[in-house]
Amino acid sequence: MTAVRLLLAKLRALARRDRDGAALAEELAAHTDMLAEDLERTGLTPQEARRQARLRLGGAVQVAEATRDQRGLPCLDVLARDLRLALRSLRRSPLFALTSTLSLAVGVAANTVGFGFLYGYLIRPLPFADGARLVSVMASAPSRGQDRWSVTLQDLRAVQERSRSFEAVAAATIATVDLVGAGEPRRIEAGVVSTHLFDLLGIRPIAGRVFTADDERGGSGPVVLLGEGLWRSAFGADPGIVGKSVTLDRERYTVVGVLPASPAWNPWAQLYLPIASDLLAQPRDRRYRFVARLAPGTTLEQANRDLDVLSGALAAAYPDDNAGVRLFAEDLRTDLLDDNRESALILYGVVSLLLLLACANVATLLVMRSASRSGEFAIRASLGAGRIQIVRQVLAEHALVTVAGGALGALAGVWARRLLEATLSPAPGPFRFDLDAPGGALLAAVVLAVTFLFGAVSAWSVARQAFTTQRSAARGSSDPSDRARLRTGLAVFEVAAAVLVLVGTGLMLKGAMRVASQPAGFDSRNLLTMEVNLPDYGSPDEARAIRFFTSLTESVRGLPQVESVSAGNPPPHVGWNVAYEAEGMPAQSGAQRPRTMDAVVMPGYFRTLRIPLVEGRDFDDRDGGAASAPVIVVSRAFTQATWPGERAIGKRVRLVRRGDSNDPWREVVGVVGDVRASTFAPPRGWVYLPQGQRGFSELILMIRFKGDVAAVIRDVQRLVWKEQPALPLHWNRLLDDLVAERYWQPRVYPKLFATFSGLAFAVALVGVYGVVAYASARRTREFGIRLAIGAPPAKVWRLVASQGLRVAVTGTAIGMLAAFGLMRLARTVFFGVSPTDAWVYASCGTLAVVAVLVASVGPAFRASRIDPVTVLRSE
Amino acid sequence: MPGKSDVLQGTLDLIVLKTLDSMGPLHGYGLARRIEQVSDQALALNQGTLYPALVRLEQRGWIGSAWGVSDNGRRARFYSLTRAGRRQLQAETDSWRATSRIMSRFLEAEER
Repeated sequence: MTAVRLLLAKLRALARRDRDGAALAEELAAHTDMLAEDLERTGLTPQEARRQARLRLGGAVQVAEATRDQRGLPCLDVLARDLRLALRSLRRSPLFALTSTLSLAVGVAANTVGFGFLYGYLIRPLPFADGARLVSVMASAPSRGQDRWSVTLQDLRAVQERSRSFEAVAAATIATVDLVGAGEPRRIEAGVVSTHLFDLLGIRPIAGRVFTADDERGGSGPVVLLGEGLWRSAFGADPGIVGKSVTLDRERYTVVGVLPASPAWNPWAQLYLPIASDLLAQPRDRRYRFVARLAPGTTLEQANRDLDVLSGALAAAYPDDNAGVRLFAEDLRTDLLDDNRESALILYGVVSLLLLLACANVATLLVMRSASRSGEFAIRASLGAGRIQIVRQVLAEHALVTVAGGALGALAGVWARRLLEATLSPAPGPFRFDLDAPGGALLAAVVLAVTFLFGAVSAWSVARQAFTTQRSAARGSSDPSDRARLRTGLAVFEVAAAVLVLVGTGLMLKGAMRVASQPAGFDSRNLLTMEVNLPDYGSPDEARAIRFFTSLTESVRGLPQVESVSAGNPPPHVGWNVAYEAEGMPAQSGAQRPRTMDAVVMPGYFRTLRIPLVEGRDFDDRDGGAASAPVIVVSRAFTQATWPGERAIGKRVRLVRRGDSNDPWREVVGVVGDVRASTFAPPRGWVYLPQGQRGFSELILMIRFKGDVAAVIRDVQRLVWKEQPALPLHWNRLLDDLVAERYWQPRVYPKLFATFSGLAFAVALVGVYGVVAYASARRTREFGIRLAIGAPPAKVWRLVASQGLRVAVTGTAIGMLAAFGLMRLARTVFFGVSPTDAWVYASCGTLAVVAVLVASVGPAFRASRIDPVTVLRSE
Repeated sequence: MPGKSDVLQGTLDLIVLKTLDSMGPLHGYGLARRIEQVSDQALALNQGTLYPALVRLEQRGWIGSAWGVSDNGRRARFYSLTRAGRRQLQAETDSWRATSRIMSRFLEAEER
């Protein structure tokens, strides 16, 4: 308390320093006068009395200074003086100030962006109540080829009743429902959840209430919770929505509340339904995932041991469902992260390297610049400046550069992140990449610590230099070896780091290019997708679905803007996989069965998507109806995996689905080109079944169109609703956009890395230039002597350039070794990265060496043009 | 000589507070004169010692100051003890007495 008051008093005193000074002067004058008067009274002459008084009381200036120091904060004065001095000295060398500030700004900006990802994914607490204790519970069944399998409601009951590791457990799954009566009919994703899920997560409704246990029993009839997004888009943010009813799948549901968009439990769910009686009656449905809160004091390991025991009991109780199935818990963040952990870490590694490069740059430039000021420092030292004072002055310059560069970089970083965020929608799960206050503070602390460390080292090195120079009276023109080593070391580090990022990015870009240069297998441009779900309301009618889709595609084909149309499910960028048996392969069971992607398609699908037909024929009118022979079309990759080196046409395949063992043996009638589910994954085998023999009620129209997409959508909707009033249409999006949305990382990351590594390389070059220029400046005198005694300028030129070459070669070699080691790790994250691509290594290495040589041309040229007379005279 | 000034540093606050307590408001010169008298000329305070001390005491809130007119009609700044200063004086007096009691016991024990 006293300390605070004291500080306040001192700060106040700083503000009115001049007034206090004047008052003190008056006070001191009065004091001196009074003493002089008293002395006069003892018999001295007035002059002598005044002299004595002054003598006794001490020098007025010193007294004023001592009092001022006592009154204010002398350290602030010193700081302000240092900063003023630093500012003046920076203004004298704008090139240095600009280069180092920009270097640092680049480093900090990149760090802000990269750290945003790291922080958002790995550090920021999940936006749920006490998120650290939340876990996901799922199943693994190695014998069935499942490592992250769904769980059942009978599992849920067992966990709730018998496990003491969890405070609460809730189940959740996803379903699609048709929403009718609110604007256009639409098909939306619904989260189907245990009634206490939102209480467990600590998510509060923005209107109404969340589910209660009563909703599970159906106490208030069918109820629904709207997501904020749907509430706004379909219900115009109606404030009186609670209590009204909406129609989902032809049934009336009462809206009991509205959930906030953030924190989103599931970014795709637009509304939530309770797991109620109909689902509770099917406890064996394997379609759920559990969210649980660990009991206080329970660790994840304990919970997993507990679940192991429970899994044994469940396998004994329900052998059909649970034999060989093991339940396990995983930290919720880990579950939601997927493989984002590695990519976030790698990205942060790159931006950290960039920051280090920038700091090394500032340090080198600072040391280099002070070399040209060694005379100034030597004079200051001989005038009595202590080592600390010189260190302080260099640090002050460094601090100014840091603050300016840091502020600039932070602004640029925030701006760049905004730009990036626009391409990242929808936000993946509950993660957010902006920096909140703790995140910003953490980033600032790391950046400041790193920059300060570099600043302190360079300041110390400058100060030592000043004292050495003073002692040797500027005569020792050779460079003391340990400092030269430090500097060369920094330069080698810069080159190595730049080469590391360069090679890494090169490999990754090449991988990306290789994948991108292989066609995706289908043409997603100008392709509109509209999902149509013909409701069956409990009684599937395959013939009706076939008739409906056939006549729908017929009429859509008649639209003027439509080039071609077909339908299928799932679309090529998504993928479901299924086990299969094939003729000529040894029969296997369970997990040993091979798996393939599969889709149901209508005739013309391959033509519309521009998937090349390699052999055989497309489906047509023959492949429909009960009497038709079962047929299938397979992809090239499927053929290679199943019958290597053989023709597929005429061979037979059977798909094996759980709970649907009746799919017949089908004869291969066509082979088509490969499509890749993700543009960054290798092609997998696909098989296509004819809609005419499957009768899916849910297909995605694939429409290749010309002109205005909105008009096409309107026309198709009109056609659909003529047949089926109020039938919801889902998606209505371009396939291009859907693909891009689903795979934002492969799209965004190579660009980010390319940008960052380009920046890193530029920053490193500036640093190398600084080192070479500095080293040759230090040897000006030596070069002068060499030239004076007859060395040809070319020799001096080579001398300087060879130093640059040494740095370049050493740095490049180290950087390549590091890249080789690190990229082996990155291979697991980025498909298509080959860590031993000689071409990339060779070209990056050449680029680095050449660039460093170019950077040292300037200093070398200057060194060879030295006028020996001038140099020797200047001594 | 240096010894004398060291002692002064540690105890000057107490001396100033005590002097203001017994004499009432004083200006800087009066304070210095009074301390000189009481100490039998042993403590001759120069301004460089006295005024920083006054600033220190004032910033801690133990003394207050106001401009006034001295005996011989000169404008001068008068310092006086505040309530907090009186408490501080009491506390410091007690602690000083305790210290000096302990010290003298030690010194006597040494002599015996």
